[in-house]
Amino acid sequence: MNLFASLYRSLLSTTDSAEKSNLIAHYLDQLNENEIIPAIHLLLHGKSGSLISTKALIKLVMIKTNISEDLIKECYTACQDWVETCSLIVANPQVEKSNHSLSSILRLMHPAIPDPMGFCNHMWNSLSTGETWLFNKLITGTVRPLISIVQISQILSAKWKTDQELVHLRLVLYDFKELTLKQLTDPHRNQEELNYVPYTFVKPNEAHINFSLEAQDDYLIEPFIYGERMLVIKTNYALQAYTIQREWRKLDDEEWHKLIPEQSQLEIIISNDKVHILHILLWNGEKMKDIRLQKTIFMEWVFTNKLSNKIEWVPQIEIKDWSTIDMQGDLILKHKEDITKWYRIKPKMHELIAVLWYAEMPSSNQSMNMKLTMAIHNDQHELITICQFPSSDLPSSDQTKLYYWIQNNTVQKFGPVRTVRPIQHFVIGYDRVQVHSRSKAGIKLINSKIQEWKKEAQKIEISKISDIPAKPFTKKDLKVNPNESV
Amino acid sequence: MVSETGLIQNTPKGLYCTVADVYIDPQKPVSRALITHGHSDHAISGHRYYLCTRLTAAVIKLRLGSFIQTQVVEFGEKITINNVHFSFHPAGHIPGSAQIRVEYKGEVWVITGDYKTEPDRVSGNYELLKCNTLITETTFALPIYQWQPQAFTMREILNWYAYNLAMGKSSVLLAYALGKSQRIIQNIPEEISIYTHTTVEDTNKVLRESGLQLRKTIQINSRVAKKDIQRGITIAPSSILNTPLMRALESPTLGYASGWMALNRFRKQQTAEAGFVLSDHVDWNELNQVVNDCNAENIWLMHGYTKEYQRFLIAQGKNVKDIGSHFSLKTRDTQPEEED
Repeated sequence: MNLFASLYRSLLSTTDSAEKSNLIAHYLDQLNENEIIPAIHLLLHGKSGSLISTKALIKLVMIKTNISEDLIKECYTACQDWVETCSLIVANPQVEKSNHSLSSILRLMHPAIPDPMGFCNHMWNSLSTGETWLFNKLITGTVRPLISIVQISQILSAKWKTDQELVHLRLVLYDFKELTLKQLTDPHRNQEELNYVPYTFVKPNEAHINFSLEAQDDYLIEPFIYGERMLVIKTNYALQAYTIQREWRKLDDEEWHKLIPEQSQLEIIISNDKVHILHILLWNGEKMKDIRLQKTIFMEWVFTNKLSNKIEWVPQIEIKDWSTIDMQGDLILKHKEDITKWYRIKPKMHELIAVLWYAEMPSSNQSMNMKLTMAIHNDQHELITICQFPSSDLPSSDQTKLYYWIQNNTVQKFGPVRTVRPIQHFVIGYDRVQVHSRSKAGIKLINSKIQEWKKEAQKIEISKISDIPAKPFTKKDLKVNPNESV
Repeated sequence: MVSETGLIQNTPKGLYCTVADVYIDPQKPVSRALITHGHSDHAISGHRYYLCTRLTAAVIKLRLGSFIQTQVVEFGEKITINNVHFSFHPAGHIPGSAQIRVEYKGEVWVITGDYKTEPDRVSGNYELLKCNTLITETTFALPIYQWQPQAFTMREILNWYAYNLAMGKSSVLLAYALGKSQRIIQNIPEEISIYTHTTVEDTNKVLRESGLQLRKTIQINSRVAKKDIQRGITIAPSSILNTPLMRALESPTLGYASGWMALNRFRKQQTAEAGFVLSDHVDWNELNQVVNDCNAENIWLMHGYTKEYQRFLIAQGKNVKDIGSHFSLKTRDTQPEEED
């Protein structure tokens, strides 16, 4: 307990990560093995569950020491921390270090303890000043996490010569109450751990790329799905797609465990930091299983069809029923070394023709852009709003032209909003359509953008809602746009 | 009673003995000054005559200039001025520090100066003096200040040194040049070399010459190898920070020894990586013990938490007077640079 208290105090007073790591490594050297897991747990997660509130602690201190409330407040003024104030007042300075271990104190600290006052009194008498401070932080639940999981796994793996990723995974995966040091530092992965991929490690060009890139071997393929990065793994039997979330999460669906044969060797094609399996696809030689995640199907489709002559790593996958597939995502080619070199491979967008109906003029305080509201026809051939864009989506010259055109063609004004004559047509591109109950049209265009302003064509046909395709893409819809954006 | 007539008065220049016409630790230049110890807030320059102990005289000559006129008095020796008997008694604060006992017509006053009751091997052992009026310091007069025994802190320092040695770092311990430094030096085992900053070494030299038994130390200069310094402990005042000397040391790690290190907020304010609670003043328990044991009818409080401690003693039925302090922590965000 004394060691941990001094470690905690030292960690609090330093901001240097290397120094923190040194301190912890030194601390672990001196520890009994049983103490390591609770210590790591406290350093990582802080709070261990509070036994009493800080207010109750202050009352306990007043009862024990018979010091007036005013004097305790004066002490607090000097100290600026209630728990520390209480600890310094009740601590027994004649104790250098106690016989209590951290784990024994944590064991004793259960919420159903019958006499918290008696317990605290007993502990205070037997703990040193530093230990009393830590003990009071424990009972009031004010211990702060002081080290990251990456740092601690680095330290543990270096000390026990284990794979750092594996330690990291175990720290996340297992319950600390059940975890033992041996289990944490065992160099062999069990089956459950084999199925998880915790870390960044890259085996590029597992997929062979035949693009006309200068140095093909330097590129990685990474699927990109609406802002979610993905991981694709090839097994002997299947392709699996993983998406990144904030943290690892056990898959609720147990089904996928059954889908992966135990003997399968996972080969990492593309990987990212902190991923978890969200969905999985399994190709059993005849058809795809688990096609709930259409994004993933699309990924398969991109890999196998769009790049069929360029990527050779999944020749066996073939999706026959294209009607089940919707356009869902893109593919990114990234240079391994140079973060500025990347290519986004994107299918051609859906298009519709909309007409400008409303324009909200710029407010000098907030934005210099106009807001342009586009409309299309419903089934009754009435205009209905479908999407809105800032005028900055247009080139500057067009913005000026449109501004004057709106001023001269306003039919009605309502505050800053002007209704204009519906004669300016725009080609709107979008990725897909989503049902949207709050929208007047009942649908929402995802990733929409103005592709073209058809200035001359006055008699162009405006799209209808019923024209908006729910149809799948075909192979020819895809095109590669290198260096679309950097 | 003399106390009602005011044998000792609190004046703007400091504590003044009306009958003997002398000042005790005056804050402004006076003719005759009785000095409790050599810290700069107790011994200022400009007095005509200084009356103090042998070690204090040596220190103030070093600090204020050898031209000052001092009269040395031994511990327990009685000096009578205008029928007022003065005697100096060990205060245990720093080498040479003294309490001053003033006796006149059977009434005894004790001015503690700064003091601590725990022996530290260099400052002499505190002597409890019975008196009618006690004028005591209250630098750490709050129940949050309860010092651990010195031996505990010294073990902490040695553990810190061992850790730094293992990590290949130089241990630099920041401590006040007069008092704290000698206390640490004397309590570090002989097998560990101690390197000192010039300021500390100058003080050590003067104290040794005046008869203080102090273990061997090595002054840091260009002839001392960095690797040797790394294997020892360097004692320096906090003014060493951002000096070429500090930059010249091999990966230095700073520790700070002070009573203020008891509080985390003061630890965080320091640039030092480690803080050690080591104070040369009485803590809460010792102060209460002294106040009870000296049997004083009147207690005057100075330095530090005077108002807070006054309220505490009044609640206990004591006759207490707050005669002000040089600093008040309530109005300061940081701890004083020196704790004396």
